[in-house]
Amino acid sequence: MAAWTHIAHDTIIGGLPAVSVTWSSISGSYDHLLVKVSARTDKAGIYDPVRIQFNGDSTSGNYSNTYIQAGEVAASVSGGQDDGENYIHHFYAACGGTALANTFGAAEIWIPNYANSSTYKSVICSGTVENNLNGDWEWVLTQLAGLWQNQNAITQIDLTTEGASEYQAYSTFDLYGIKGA
Amino acid sequence: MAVIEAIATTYLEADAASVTFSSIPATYEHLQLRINARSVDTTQTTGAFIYLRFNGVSSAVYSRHFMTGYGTAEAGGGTAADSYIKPGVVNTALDDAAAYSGLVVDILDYAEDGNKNTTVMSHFGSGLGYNIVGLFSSMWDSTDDVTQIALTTYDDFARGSEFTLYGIQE
Repeated sequence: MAAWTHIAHDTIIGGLPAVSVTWSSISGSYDHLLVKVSARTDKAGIYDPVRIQFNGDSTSGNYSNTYIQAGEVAASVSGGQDDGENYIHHFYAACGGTALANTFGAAEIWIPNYANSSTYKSVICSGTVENNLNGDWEWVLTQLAGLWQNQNAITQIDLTTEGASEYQAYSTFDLYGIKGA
Repeated sequence: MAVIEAIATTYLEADAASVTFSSIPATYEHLQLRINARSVDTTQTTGAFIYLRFNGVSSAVYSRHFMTGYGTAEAGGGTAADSYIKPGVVNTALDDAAAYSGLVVDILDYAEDGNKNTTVMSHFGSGLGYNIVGLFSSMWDSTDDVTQIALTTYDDFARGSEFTLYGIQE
């Protein structure tokens, strides 16, 4: 049996821009999920964080995350932690509207053991906002660990822009199911 | 058709100056390189960079940024215009002879001709020698399809280095 299954592909081509990408009714028949994102939004700025929520849960306190990031030359690498949130954030995955034209963020989200009903759900995220500039916050790299403090199987994923900005044309979002032996 | 397919693998039976994947088909959504390599260099005490170019383009149309931890220190920064991408750092001949570094290099939407610059996200690390782990991002400021990937390093890649190019389906 194939180890990888392509579950869904969303792209913003020829349609109206969107503030959110949602996959629902995700089958529980895989071991892990992987999301690959190549995205750009119309936010006024170089970068746009992408918010992650599961199963439509927006309960304050159900999400937390820890991250390291680079984006300031002088400050080198910094880190932080967010507890008691209503989504996973600080995930710098999309270029904003003032990044170099035709340039999209590159990111991925690993969701291990998403289908069990006994553990909180962890995510590991890598996000990059590349640009042809080198000043402070003209580029951002993020490595993030997130937690959804809920034991339910994940059946829905929402990837929402910050501040209701809109994903722009040619942004792509791919969801893969991955099985073990 | 499998979602992820190995397009080509190069295993070096002898030291080599470069590794090139050519005639890459445009039939996948994304590409991924998985590399386990070292350099024969004996001068780079902080590890040897890998250099990557697309389609043989060597002009200053690449940008790159990095976030690394090495030993007990960390660093971030980048270069706005360069003649190549640096997707990571590998062990050298200064390190233990059996030490090869691992890299996973994601090349997203490489075949969106006319619409998207090619962006690259790479993870790499080595727990021996320079002791480095990092996340790099890079961009080729061109909307052309990627049809060729050329990899070089400081001096030659060492015998036993292995490079596999995967295609990931939509």
